Amino acid sequence: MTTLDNSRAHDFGGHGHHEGSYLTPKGGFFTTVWDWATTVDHKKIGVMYLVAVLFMFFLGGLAALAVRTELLDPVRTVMVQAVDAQGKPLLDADGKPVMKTEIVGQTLARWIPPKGGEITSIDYGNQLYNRAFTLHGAIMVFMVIIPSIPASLGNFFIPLMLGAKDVAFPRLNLLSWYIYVTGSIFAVSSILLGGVDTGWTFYTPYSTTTDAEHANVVLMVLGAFILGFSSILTGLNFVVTVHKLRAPGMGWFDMPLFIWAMYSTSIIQVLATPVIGITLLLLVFERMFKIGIFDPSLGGDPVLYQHFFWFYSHPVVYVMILPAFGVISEIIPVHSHKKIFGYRAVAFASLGVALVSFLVWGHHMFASSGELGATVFSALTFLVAIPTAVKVFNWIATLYKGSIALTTPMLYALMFLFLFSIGGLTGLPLGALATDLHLHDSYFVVAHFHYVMMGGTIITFVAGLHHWWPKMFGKMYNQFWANVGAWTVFVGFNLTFFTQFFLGTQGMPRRYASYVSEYQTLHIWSTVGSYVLLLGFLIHLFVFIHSLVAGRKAPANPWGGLTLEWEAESPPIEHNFAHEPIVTHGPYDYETTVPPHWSAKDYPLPHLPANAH
Amino acid sequence: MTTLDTRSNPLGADVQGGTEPLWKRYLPGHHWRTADEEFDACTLGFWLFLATEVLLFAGLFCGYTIMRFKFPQAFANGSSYLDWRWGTLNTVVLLLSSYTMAASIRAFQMDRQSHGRRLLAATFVFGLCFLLIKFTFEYTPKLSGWFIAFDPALSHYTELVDNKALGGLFHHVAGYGGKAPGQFFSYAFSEDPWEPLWWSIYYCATGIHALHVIIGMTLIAWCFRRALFFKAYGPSHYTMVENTGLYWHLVDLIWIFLFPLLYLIH
Amino acid sequence: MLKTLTNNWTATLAESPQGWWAPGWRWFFQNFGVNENAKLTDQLYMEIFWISVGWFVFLMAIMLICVVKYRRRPGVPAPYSPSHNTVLELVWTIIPCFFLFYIFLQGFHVYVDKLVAPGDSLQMTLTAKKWDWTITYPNGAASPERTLIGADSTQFGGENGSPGSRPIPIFYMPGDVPIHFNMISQDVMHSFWVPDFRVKFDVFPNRYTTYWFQAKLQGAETNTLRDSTGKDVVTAQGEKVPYIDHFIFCAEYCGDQHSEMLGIIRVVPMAYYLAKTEEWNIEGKTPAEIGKLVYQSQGCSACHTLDGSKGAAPTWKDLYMSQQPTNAGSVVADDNYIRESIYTPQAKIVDGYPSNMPVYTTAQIDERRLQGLFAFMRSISKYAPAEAAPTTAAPATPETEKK
Repeated sequence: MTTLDNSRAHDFGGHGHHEGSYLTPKGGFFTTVWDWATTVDHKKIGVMYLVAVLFMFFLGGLAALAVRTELLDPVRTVMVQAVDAQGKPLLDADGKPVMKTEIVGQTLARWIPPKGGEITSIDYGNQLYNRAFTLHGAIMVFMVIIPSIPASLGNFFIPLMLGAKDVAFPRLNLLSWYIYVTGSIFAVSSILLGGVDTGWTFYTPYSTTTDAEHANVVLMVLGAFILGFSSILTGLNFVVTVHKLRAPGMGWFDMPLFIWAMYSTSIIQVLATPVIGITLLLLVFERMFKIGIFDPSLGGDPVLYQHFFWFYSHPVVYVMILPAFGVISEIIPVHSHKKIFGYRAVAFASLGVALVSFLVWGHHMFASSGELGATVFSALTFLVAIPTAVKVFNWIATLYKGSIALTTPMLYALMFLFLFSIGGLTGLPLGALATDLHLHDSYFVVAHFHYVMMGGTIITFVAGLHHWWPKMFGKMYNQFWANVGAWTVFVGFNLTFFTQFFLGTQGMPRRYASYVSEYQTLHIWSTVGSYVLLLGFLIHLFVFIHSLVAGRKAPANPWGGLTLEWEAESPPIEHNFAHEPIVTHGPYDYETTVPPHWSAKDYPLPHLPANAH
Repeated sequence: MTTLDTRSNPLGADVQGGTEPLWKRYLPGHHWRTADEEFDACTLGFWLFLATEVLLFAGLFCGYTIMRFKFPQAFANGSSYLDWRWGTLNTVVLLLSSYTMAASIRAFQMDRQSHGRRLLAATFVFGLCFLLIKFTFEYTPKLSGWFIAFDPALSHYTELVDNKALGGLFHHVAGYGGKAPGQFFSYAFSEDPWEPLWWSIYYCATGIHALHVIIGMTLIAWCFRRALFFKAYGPSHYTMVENTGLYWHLVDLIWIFLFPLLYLIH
Repeated sequence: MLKTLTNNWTATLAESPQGWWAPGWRWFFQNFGVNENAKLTDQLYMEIFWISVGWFVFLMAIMLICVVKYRRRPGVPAPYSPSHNTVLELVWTIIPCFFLFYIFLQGFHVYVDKLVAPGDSLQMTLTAKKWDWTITYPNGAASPERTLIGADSTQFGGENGSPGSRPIPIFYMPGDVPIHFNMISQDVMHSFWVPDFRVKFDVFPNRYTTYWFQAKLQGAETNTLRDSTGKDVVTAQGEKVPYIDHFIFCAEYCGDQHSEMLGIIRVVPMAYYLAKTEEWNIEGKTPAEIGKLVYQSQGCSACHTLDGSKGAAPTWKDLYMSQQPTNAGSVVADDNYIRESIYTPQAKIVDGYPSNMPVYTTAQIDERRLQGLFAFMRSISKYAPAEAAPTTAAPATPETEKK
């Protein structure tokens, strides 16, 4: 092939037009909206993902609060005295009070009363509850956690950290965003049309038979199917970007660990998502054409569905948590001005987790599979614990002899270490076969995966948002109130979910709209915790809004980071860098490098012993 | 070329104006250093995409294997209704189309524009043949019992023909149809209760494959249009037609797996 | 609204566990070891718990010490320290492996106990359907007893309340002998979980899964664990029978009343169990008695009342041979209509009721039990002819012919 003009290669930025911040409006209101809607700039797409994900997080959070509120009180059918319109007890001919049955404890049914207004059976309230938890699960998994860090922070920062102008396929990137929005619209419309009550796992044959008269389930499943495409395309884009667009001088082991984590994540997304694609497609066919592959009455096998489903959905757990590992691997060195301990171990642990993640799906089915499969999957499951534990050790070792600033992102990173350790350790009794047969599908599992998914991924997402907020929007935020928000979230989170471990071991099954009264005290604590959690997130929302409206201008490198994104302006110019960056130091060489935009006066380098490095 | 400001044209697109063929005017996206890098990245990305396609079908093959293992008799019965001759013909058609596709890419690389276009068109026509055979000789009779008059299979059922349509072009064979998937299965002479499952797998696998053929044909048509009107592909720039070719070979490859699994194993 | 924790949690079967891992078991388990396997499970859980606590405290302590000791001081750089140490990294990779391997082995060891039933187990069949459990005893009988559960005297049914409105089945099981269930589902997936036994297994619509347990009765302090009916179980002679109740929960989401799909395993002495199952054995009973047993044991009583009051489905009082308005026109509730309503319940729905009757199969209600149901319904209907009417293939009346 011909060699094209290499003069352009170093001509980063160059000739002047559109060299302001990427956030500078391109004209009037409609012009700007049109510019954003058709942009191929990875930064704008990242911000658009951020907005969309936060909106879905709000919806999913509302559903979670509905679930918790319903569980405040167990549902009971009780005998009460009938009263007349004035509230006086009705008496029968003998002067005895007239008794009637009444259903109490159904909060959702009171909020959204049935047609006719009177609740005559427990089914109606239970149906609302089942829709609420399905809504919560499906939105949080498919529309929030999976795209949260990769699609928003990843899109924004992968090219910046690699010193590139954009991701490999910018138009494909925009297409991914539109596919994400389309999938979300499908899912939300299924909710508006009456909701889905299958649980986010869509287990057959329940999902193929419930609500046979309408298409809500098909819409929701198609929504998840479409979201899968968005996920595949984003992952593919990132893999190629990492391979092909690293700045001159950046070898594989000079990449920031966030990039390593995103690279592993993307590989899982590309390799696992197609399987859920065909599974969900077969599920749609099953509902529409009754093909019977998963339907036992036609000879199909519901366990086959579970295998297919978890072959994707287990690796996807690591799609959710690996980016979080990446963010933590950035925040801890930057805010303690310390080289990460065991860079290669952390990088290879990401790849190791990605690899083993494909071999452990069966541990979701210990209660349904035979002993041989269960034993093998149990052993493999414990394998995942090793690279994960190594990472935690490395992060803590990084703190040793650091210079630790308790900024909001750092505070969140430390909270992550706390919560994720609990989440990881409570995975042990779930991986052990004997205890899992007791704890499977109980509140113990609910608590465990919330510690990992929310305590791991969402907490880290918020941490990363605070870490990179000055870079993304060029504004600082109020650290004091952000720290107050972080502590509120931390307290609320533990109150909500730590109680659920005890509920689980004591025998509370998950997805129950009601329960026997012994469990009520713990449920009340858990619900109170969820309201505290809401308060914490509202504080963060106000801190961010305040920052956008009245925050002081952020310096280019507020924390003293060494990775390439801190060399760019805050917010970055349209083409990221005025000159193509050339990598001369490692991403965490705090002992030998003064951070960009910092002066040697503010950052005296430590004395290196002669045998260092 | 060097005087062009590529930022007005940030995505790697065709620079407007000029009378030269488009492939000569092509500039890579502004975030690439060279066109070679962009081409390598596109190829890598496309191979990854092909991997996802393979995994998509892997799910189907896995379902097929498990079901075949559970219900061998139903699958043997079902498979016996498929005519290996039509399957073989379709295999040949697809193999030929793969050849013309590869030759077409080669032609564009040599800047033999009209030859390349002809081969692209041939590939498209082969794809169309594949679909026609699939729908008229395989799906239609099995679902409805309607045969096209010159279908050799019809000779077995001459005494069963109970209806004709379109001036005798179509013949209906009583009781032959109804081999539909799952719950819609209504074939009266089925010998195994699980035969509907075989048809479910058959229609899902071949149907999703046919969908891929249609997508591939759309891509080919798009390449053809760009080649015809703009001379978009040439020795230094042929990314799109190359990747379309890769896609088409994958479609072919999947059929190579489907054909023995569905038609030949009894 | 904020009800206090009921005092029914008093752990009765606990011999207080011994061992380094024992402290704190009450945080997680209300009773310890209703049988050997449950004891081992609890022990393993507590071992994992304390190992985890050890690691967690160790890590968090290091983290907090670092955060305090190495907090940032302006102008002072972080001192140099190595960022890589192969020996240390190998050590902290290998040490957890030993812990993990130990936990895996223990988990496997106790798991095998949960899977493999002793050869001399009592064989029973467990059927799950939305949203009820049925257990068929070795003599073909099924338990007709049901109860409402709850704690509060203001609640439904006088002294009882329930997590919904339905009474849940009580299954009498002999204590101290192994019992083996063959489990199958009629519709979607369910999961049979008795938290006290620390085991659950999924119940599928198309394949049998098994479940076995041996519940302790001898030597255990016997009173109710969580059932608050407060009633004694007494024999026909009026003797008190020692018993222990264990909850059954459905642990696989199965729809609207998933959270009401409960049951009680009532562990009683073998002699009493034999007497009970003999009492429910349909051999030697009149058709009407059989019908009443079927009514109670197959869950009909959850929706159909016998006293004329309105339940979730038409009352059976005065139903037999009465005229019923349905979505397919008016029908006479004769044998054919009742039969159709049991095996294909969606065919004709009586006006004013939801279409939520579960489908029964001939395996659950065979011809003999069906005839029993007819006889039972006839005995409580004023429309029934006084003398025994022909019970099968009753000629269709002109009313049923309409539409």
